[in-house]
Amino acid sequence: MIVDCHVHLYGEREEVTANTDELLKYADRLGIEKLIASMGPQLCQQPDAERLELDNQYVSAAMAHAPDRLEGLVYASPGQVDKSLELMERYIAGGPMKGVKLWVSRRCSEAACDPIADYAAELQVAILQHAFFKVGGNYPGESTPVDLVELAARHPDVEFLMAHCGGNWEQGIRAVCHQPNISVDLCGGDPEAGQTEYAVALLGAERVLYGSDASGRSLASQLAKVIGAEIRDQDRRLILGDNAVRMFGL
Amino acid sequence: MIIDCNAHLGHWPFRYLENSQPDNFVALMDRCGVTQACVAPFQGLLYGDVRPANDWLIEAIAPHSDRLMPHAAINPNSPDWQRDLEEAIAGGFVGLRLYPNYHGYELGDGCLADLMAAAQAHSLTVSIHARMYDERLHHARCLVPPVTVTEAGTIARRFPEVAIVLCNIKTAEINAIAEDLGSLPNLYVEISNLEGIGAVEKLVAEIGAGSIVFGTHAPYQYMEASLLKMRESVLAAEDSAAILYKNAQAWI
Repeated sequence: MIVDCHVHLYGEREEVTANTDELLKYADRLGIEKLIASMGPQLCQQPDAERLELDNQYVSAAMAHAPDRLEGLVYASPGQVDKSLELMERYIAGGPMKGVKLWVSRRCSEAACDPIADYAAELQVAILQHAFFKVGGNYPGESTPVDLVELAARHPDVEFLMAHCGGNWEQGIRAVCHQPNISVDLCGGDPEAGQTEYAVALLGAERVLYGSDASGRSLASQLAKVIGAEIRDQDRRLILGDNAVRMFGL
Repeated sequence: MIIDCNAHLGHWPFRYLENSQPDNFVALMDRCGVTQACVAPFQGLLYGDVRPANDWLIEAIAPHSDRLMPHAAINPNSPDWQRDLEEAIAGGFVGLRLYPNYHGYELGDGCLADLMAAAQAHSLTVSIHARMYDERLHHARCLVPPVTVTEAGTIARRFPEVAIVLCNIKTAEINAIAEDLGSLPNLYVEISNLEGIGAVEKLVAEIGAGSIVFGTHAPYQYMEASLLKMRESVLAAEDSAAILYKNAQAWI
């Protein structure tokens, strides 16, 4: 089974079912059976409580429209801790969402992330954290892989999934390789050859997941990072789906 | 049949690449079902004198001359570039690769017009790279902004007999010149940096399949990425054939 662990449903908010159907149409062509969505129809770096509410309602509605295909993560923010915990209780403890997504509102090394991580530990769900090594500097609240290592070290009972292999994937993978509760997803960058092989070599295939960052990215270009990688077939199966099934309890 | 219009061989300066030598690259083509590829030397990006880069390429690919079509790196902003061009033509190169951002000129500069005139006189294809890789990931001491491609239409109109391929171009940049792409028969884009779901079919709807060629940017990128993009999009058979090889065959 192929699971895309990192997608967004861009479009107009009131067209959630059409946006979902659109994404699934392309997923079908590539044999992608399940997709894990988070965040709203347009990206918001500093969501207030109302925006978090709306964005999570949006993903919830998409999941209700395609319950056999679409999974969801709660879009939480260390800038809105109380609202984040409320949403985790509603959508994870109450179902059906499978984990947490944190983006760029605060660097994840900040203490403000701790209540969210503590609750994730209690709920036994993973956290997908955006992290990027970017030449020229990050957004003010944008985490680097080093920030994620700090957070993961404080919360050894939580599984973290570092998005984009940390942007500059050679540096990002090296930064997290010694922190065993951090896995990486492959999504969001150009399909640079060698990325997947490098991740497998340094982390082991069990800590590498396929994701696309669609619909901004092509499902295909990102899938090629796994299909085209010169790795063992059993490792390819782990990356394409088995790891996501385990991490998110699908 | 599949023709890859955007490939390189040789030494990429910032990372070891597994399939950057001719034998490995042809094996990769075989694995992916790619029939032929237009290849240029990576060394042409940074060498002060591009001739050793071109010389290396033409010798290295000799055993694969039926599969690999050599494109010479030319820097028209370099003194005596005409000699580099003459040697490339004499050496059997069938196209030219330009890297305006690495070589320090803009598409509207006179040096490019001079080179285009020479390319037209010698019936050479000209491929212009908008970038080589994601600007966010550049080496901290080698930051190279992308090429501004808005002048591409002006060049294509001025040199109508030269097939111009814009390589490593992103969707937003294509959108900015979509009108020119849709109306100028000698101006093409290749798909290696197209992103977004169903990007190829959406681009066909926007500018027509006649303006699009298949390219992978291998071995820097996984060759499979562009192949899977073709699968992600549903195209009419004639549009698919145009992109995969027919458009390129017209000027190869």
